[in-house]
Amino acid sequence: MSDEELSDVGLVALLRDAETQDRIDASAAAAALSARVMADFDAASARRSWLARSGVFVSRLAATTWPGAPLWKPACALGFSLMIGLGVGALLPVDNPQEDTSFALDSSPGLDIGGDLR
Amino acid sequence: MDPDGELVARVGAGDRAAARLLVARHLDKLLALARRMLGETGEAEDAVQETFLKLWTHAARWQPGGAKFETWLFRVAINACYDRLRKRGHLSLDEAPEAVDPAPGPERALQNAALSQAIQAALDALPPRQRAAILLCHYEGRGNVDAAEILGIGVEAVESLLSRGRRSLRASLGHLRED
Repeated sequence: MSDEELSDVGLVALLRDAETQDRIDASAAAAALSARVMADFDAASARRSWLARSGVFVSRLAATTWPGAPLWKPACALGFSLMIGLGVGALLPVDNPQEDTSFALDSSPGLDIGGDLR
Repeated sequence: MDPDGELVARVGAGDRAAARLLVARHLDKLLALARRMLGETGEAEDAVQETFLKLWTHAARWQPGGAKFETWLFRVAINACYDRLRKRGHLSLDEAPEAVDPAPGPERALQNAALSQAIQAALDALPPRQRAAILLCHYEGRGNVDAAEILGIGVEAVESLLSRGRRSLRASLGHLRED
């Protein structure tokens, strides 16, 4: 160790003193920060209670539609019916949209609403 | 037995009084540590606020049998500081930043503010991991095992970080030797 260096004991004492002083300084600044932190808590609580209310609503809905069944059964039934609906919708043949467009462009309107008003 | 365990469970259930108690118990320590990690008050406050926000969102899922709460809280705070240091200078956590001249002169070092500045300059010159280890063990007064858990590394790695960190600090704070 060179002459210019502190001992480990001296260094640790220096750091511990700094910590004590910093804690005093921090407690002065902590009031404003504490208010911000508690505002975050209130916002998080509000969000959590909204989620909890949504959960209760879903549970009640499931109990009404399928009394006595665990929540996963109506959820699966809903998911399954959605899958079938989407599958059928995707596989059904649809009319050619090109024909509809040409009809709309080539034909004159059969009803003149403006004319009726006049 | 975790002294904060019951409070965290109450916070998870939405108890505001318990949240206030946890803030009163830990905010000063976290703020002091974050200030020394980041060397800047505004960023330190943001890091501490982010730490508590994580607590509010995770408290309901807290498992009492796992890690000690304070260890978890300090880990979150240290990681929030690391994130800010990375964003600030794209530093790797083991890389030392640009050296700062820590010498304020012996007469100014007698004053608290100057002493604090000198320590901060010396800490700022350390790589973030060394700085975190030094702050947890020699500034906060935690044991090496606790610090290792907070930093998510082994005890031997902490000892190595401490040894290197102390060597740098001893050299850069040598001018305070007589005080």
